[in-house]
Amino acid sequence: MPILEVDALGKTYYPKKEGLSYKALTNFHLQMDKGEFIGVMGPSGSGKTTLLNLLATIDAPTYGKMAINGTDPTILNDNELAIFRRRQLGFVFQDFNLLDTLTVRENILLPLALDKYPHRKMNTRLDEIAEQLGITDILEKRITEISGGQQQRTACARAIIHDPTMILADEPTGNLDSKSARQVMDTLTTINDEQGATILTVTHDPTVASYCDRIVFIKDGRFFSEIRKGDRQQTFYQNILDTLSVLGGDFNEHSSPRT
Amino acid sequence: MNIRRLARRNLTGNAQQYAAYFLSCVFAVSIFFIYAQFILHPDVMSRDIRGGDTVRSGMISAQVIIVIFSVFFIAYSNSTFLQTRSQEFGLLSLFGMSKRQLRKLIYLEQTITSLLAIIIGLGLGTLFSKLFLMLMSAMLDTEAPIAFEFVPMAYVITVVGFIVLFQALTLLSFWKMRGQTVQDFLQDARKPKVMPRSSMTITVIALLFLGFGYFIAATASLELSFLLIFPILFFVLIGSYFLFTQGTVAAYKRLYKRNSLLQGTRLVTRTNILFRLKDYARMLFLTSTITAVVLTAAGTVYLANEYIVDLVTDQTPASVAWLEESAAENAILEPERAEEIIAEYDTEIEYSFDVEMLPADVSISGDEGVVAVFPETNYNNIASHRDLDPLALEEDEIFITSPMLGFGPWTDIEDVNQLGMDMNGEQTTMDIAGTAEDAIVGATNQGQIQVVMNDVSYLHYASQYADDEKLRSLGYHFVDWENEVEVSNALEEEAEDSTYSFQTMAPPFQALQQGFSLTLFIGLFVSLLFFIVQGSMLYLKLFTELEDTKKQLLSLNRIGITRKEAGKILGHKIKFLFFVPLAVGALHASFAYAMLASILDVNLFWSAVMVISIYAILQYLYYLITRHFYLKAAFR
Repeated sequence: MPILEVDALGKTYYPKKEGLSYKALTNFHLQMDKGEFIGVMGPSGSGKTTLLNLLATIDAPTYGKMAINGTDPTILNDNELAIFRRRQLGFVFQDFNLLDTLTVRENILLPLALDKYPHRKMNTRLDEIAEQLGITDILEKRITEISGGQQQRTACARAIIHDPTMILADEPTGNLDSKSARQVMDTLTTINDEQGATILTVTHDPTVASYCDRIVFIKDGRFFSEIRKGDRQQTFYQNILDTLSVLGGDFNEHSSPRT
Repeated sequence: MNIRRLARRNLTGNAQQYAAYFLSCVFAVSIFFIYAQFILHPDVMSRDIRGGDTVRSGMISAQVIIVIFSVFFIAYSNSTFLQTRSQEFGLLSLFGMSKRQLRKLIYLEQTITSLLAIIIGLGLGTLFSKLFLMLMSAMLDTEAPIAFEFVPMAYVITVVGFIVLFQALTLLSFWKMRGQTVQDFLQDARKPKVMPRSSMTITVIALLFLGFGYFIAATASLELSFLLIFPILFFVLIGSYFLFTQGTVAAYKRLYKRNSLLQGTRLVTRTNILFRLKDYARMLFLTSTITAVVLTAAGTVYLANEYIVDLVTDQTPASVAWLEESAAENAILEPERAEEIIAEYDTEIEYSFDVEMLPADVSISGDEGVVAVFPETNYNNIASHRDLDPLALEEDEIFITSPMLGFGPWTDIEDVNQLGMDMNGEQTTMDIAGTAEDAIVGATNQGQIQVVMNDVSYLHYASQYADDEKLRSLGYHFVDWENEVEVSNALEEEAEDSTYSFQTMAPPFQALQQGFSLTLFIGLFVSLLFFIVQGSMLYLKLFTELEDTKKQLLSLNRIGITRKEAGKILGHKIKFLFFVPLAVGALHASFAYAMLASILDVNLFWSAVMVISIYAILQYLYYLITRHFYLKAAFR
């Protein structure tokens, strides 16, 4: 059974007063299996972020159906949604979204703490993940004391700590230099390989995209095409570039997609 | 576009950002002005105040607190406000604005804001002075002893004082900005939060200071109390200041280390407070001091008011009462005539009595005395109306009741078991079944010691007296006794020879209360004003950090946090800010009450509990209101 099923999903923004309505996403289909690592690419304004927000349950679709691990989040109320997000989803944001009053350790443990996990379980889980992501040394540091790459790896650790059904990443390397970006992508790959996490990332960076198993391209709110990784990352990278050139549009955006 | 226009644009464009700072300034100006207008008011300056010097010096210390509060509060809001705008100043410098121009910009902005704040503050101050006086009159249920009046001196002091304060603060911020580079400006807005430090030594010293201050207060005697007030203030204030800046940090750090930190929202709530404690400390110190002042002042006033009511109600059995020296006739006032007058005034009678009494000579503690003896049935009748326990005396028992017990020869009556009496020639000794301090019937010419006797014994001794040797006490008690001045006076006028044998309740009560009302008024005024000051300080403080809070909520919401949990996180912080000063203030005030109690040699426990509970309820209401608005603003 697929982890994520998106069926004819659409989102139309209606202006509050007069004006034209805007179709951000139209009739979108997507299926994701457990352990998959999918990248979503598309030019500015193509509906990537809308899709991510819908999947993240931060925004509600205008029509269509979706199911994450068999649950349809559109029928949940705000409270249930919050709990759903906390337990079923893990997030990695472009702006890291870490609390600066907490240490790295506390930031990572936050989702578990909110759910009142037993201590021993928390710590074993934390040690295991910190080891894997190579952040054991900085666990006691404050967020303001570590680099951007370290912050994003902390965010990755927080996204995986509660063993979510799916991890959603929104331009995870958008704020990082290329070296840190590579480290973060390696981290996501590690999570994907070793923890078996299902990851969906939105990106405009072909290098980042080349880490994925499969790329879904969107244009003007509609599905455009899809390519799968072969044996070599290099050929995959070339394929991505080719598709992008067919797709056209502005890819050098650096606007941070926020909710 | 010149600098002046830019300054104006900044003000109008950033109105949202300015709002909290501006409101803080307006608020400080209004409070200062209301108080200045009050103590410079001609009626307060010239009129005779009960407890004169003490009250006056209390009012002056309150003024000092208001000044300190204004300076601290505005300096604090000013520096946080400039810090949030630091990045903007950095950008302007980056675009090539010279230091001089930047200073000019800030100066213009600050001056415009401060002048506006002063004008609006004075306007609101004037308006609220009027409202305040009306409110107080309504609360005191008498005509306000002070009429609203424009006091020019108060306006002058407020305007001059605040212009000087604002200018000084602007200059101070220039001084702080000297040597800051563009880079500094740009980074200033997001200073990393550091773990606050605390020193064990200073915490211990703070606790010792507090303890010592409390110790002096608790053991002070009447003779030394005036000398000791300043040392006590010194120790307690210094002690609590360091307790807040060091002790709370130490306590929270200890909480932080606990494993239970990682359960639920605690992780967020505790660290939120921990990282702001240095910020909060001064504020908590100020508000807890204010709370202590309010509680002490209100408690003292409340106590004095209680004392007045007791003074009247203890001495007088009923709203009106008089004594007929011969039980056979109505020489003073015919009961029928009295009831006619009472009916004329449409006064509702709660109960009345007409009790025959026998004068008896007694000897107590070596002194001769006279008591009035009356039967148990009459006592029980009156007692049922006054919520007193009924008596059931044996034939050889008596019950003594009089407000005079505890005075003169009757001081140690509780230790005496028997009383020897001369009932018009017949000697008897009876057991004292109990004593009380209520006046049940009217006073006799020789005093007010009233003795209740079993009905059978009473009838036995009554036969020893001729009718004109007996006394009679008559009385009427009105439902709304406090306000029945007119009918009481009318009855007293109607009565013959009313020098000592006619007692009334309402007129002396009202006279005492009027005489005391200015003192009461000042006490309540200062208390209410300061209560509002401390609450509003906390309120505004919370709103200056609203942006930070919103950012944190957004972060948490993306991870997934329910509305209830978010409410808990915010509520915890508000609760901390509102109730820590209440607890510390109440502790301070308790020792002040203890000192007062040991000086006056009275038991103030219940009064203290009462005052503190009322204050706590009001503070809780303020908390609920603040929480409501803060959550609303944060979730928007």
